[in-house]
Amino acid sequence: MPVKDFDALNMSTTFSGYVSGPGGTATPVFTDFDFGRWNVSASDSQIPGVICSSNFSYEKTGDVDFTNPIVGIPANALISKVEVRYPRSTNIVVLAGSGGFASIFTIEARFHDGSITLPSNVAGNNTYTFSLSGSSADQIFDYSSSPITRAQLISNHGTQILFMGLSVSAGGIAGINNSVNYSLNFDLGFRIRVTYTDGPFSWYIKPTVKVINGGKIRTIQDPEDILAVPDGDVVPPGFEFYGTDDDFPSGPVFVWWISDDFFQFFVFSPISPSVILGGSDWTNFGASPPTCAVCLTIALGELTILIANASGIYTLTQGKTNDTLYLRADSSTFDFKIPNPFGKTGLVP
Amino acid sequence: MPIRDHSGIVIDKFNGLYDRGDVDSVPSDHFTDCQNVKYIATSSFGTRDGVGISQDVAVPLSNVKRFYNYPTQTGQTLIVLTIDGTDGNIYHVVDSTTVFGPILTITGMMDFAFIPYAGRAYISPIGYYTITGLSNDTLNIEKGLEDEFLYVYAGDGTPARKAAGDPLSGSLIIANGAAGNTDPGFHLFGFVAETSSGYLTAPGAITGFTTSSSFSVSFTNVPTSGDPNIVKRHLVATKVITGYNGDTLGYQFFFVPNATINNDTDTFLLDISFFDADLLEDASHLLDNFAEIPAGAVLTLYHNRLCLAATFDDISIVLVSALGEPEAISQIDGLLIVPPDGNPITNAQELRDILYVFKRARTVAFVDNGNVPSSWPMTFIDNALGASIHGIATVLDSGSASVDALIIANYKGINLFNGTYIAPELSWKIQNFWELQDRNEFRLIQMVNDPVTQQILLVIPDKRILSGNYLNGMNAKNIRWAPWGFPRDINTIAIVNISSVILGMDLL
Repeated sequence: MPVKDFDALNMSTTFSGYVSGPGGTATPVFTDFDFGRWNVSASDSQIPGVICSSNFSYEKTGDVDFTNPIVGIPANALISKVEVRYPRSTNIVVLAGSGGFASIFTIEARFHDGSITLPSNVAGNNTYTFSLSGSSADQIFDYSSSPITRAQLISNHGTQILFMGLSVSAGGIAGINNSVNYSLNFDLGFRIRVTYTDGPFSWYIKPTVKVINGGKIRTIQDPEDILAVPDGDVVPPGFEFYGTDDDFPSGPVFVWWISDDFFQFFVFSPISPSVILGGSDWTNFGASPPTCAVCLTIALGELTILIANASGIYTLTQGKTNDTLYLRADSSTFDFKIPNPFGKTGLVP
Repeated sequence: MPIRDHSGIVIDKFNGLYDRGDVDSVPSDHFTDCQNVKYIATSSFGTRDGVGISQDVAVPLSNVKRFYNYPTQTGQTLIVLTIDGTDGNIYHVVDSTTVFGPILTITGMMDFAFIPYAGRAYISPIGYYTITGLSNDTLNIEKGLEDEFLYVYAGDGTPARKAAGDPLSGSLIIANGAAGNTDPGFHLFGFVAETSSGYLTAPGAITGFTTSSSFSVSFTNVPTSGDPNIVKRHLVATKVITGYNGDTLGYQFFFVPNATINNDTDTFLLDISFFDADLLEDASHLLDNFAEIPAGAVLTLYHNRLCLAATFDDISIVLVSALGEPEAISQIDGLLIVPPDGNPITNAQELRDILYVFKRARTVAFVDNGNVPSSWPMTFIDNALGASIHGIATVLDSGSASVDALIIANYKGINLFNGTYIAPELSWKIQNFWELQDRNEFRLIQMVNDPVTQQILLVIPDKRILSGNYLNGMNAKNIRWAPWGFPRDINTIAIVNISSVILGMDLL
């Protein structure tokens, strides 16, 4: 049986999640970094209205699985207190790396009890820092006068513990709503996604589209569906097309299209910007799921569950290197590290 | 990096925590701060030993507030108080798999006093109360729980019962028996019930009868108590009374030899012959005894007498039993009075044939002069230092004195006491540490002394353990202190089986 830090008796942990970088495919998950407490499953939901590509879009609700008797809370444990502590405030740093242009950030951060929208469409290829203060108070459920069972804990708190949400759109330009002819120019290797808004949901197609580059018409080959579009034809509403270095010469690229429909138009830089979220409370680096190009670990809050009852009669055992405690009432015991032994002299180290 | 002409400081001894005065005054071989270290041999230290569970049962005791070592005829056991809501429950933990009880449940019992005697356990529920000082501050005090009593537990798993007992009631039917002999004349007769713990009730069912010289006496309609703890009933009688005035309790009673009913069911005792000259063993003192002994906060033994102090109504009185009869406490002369000062008696302990009685800041002594307790002379020992309610170290698994001295915790610190408080106190090196402890919670202090491993362990008001290792000497200079923290607060401590330290952990 692993020996746990004695604080684990409080079943206190910091939940963190991964968020993938540009092109990353890792599904953000809650990760219990402290082994042997409980499993956490989570659902990942994209914040409506934010297009994900080279963006971070992130919102978490956590369903805590308290039921595993091995690593979780024993089935017959009595719980006297549940504390959910959320980030109070943090400093967020958004850094746009080199290579992108027209980089625009749309940032929205949400605490569990509401949404806080930060300045949107922040332009620039540099670092943007801001502070975020949460209005959220900790949620403390005190059952000390009448401790609850694990089943009651699950019933009361086992689902939808929303820790926080955060989204950052970076490396693109603002969405454009348009119903008339429109043109933009881009550098090399652009990528365009158009979200069709006249349907029941967002969709796009990947035809070959007509691109006029410096007066020349170039045909972009879609890798999946080669479709020649005659010069001057109307681009179908709802499409995505790609440019590569091979497809485009240096210089600006012009795109025309005509539509009488209402649609959004997003253009993303071909070069992924670096987006770094930094913060005093909820952000740190170091954990890197292998599929992420850029990985961030964001502390989502802290959940403390106080096991009601390790009280009992114990024997001080000579030579024993850890403390073994009862955990009611299924006769299980847990080994805990002896709390922080130290001796400090008055000498300067 | 070495500095030229400067030699490094070599620390080859670690003499424990030093928390007195300014931190700059800490000797280099002491710790300015430490936790969970134990001292090994004379100069080393390491991590303290871990704790393991003590009970191997499906539902171990929980919310343990207090326990004491309870030596029985067959082994070292524990008597344990747990709190369940407002109810205090007392269990008898015989070993890791055997628990009796609750043997006693009392609402409002926050703590209890305990003393073993002849294999039995005497238990007195304690209540926590407060008094208000002149500066409107509130002081915690402990005294016997209101409207509660001293209990006795037989040690066999049967529920504890109230100590002492009521006299039998009713009237006897007395007649001349078979041919025999008595001193002719008017006598008063009665019966004394005896409990399983040997307690003798006051005489009851007292009835007058004029005996005839050539006949024995026979008794019928002898009352039974209905109490399963009554195991015998003894006949008592006065000598011949001339000019009887009708006051049944105004005469001296004696036990009648060979006149015992060895059960609580028979209602007769026939053909008893005796002469007044055979009436030697006095029973009158039983009339003065408490039928119910009020609960107190302090229990101890002195000269084979049970001493109970700090009852709810009399916080400065010690009730002292008859010699060898722990439940026979006279309401007339079984009393010791410590001068009242508003503070209750907190502790009492025999040392070198003297009974020391403590309040939180006062110590007095009584000496048994061979007469009734109320005649024992009192001497003031210290008018500034006393002891907390559990603040006298128990030694191994019995008693309190070791090396002819007590170890006492009080507001000054942890002291050696050999009739006077020895200065400097043992805790001299950790004066700051001690002063930071909440005085109002000194009732949490419980201390054991393990002369085998040579360490003192005590629960301190912040609910940690304070370890004092005296391998290098039990004096203020050489004792090595270290606080120990645990995953849960510690409420209570005891030593069993020579040197096994038992800890009781709190809920939080």
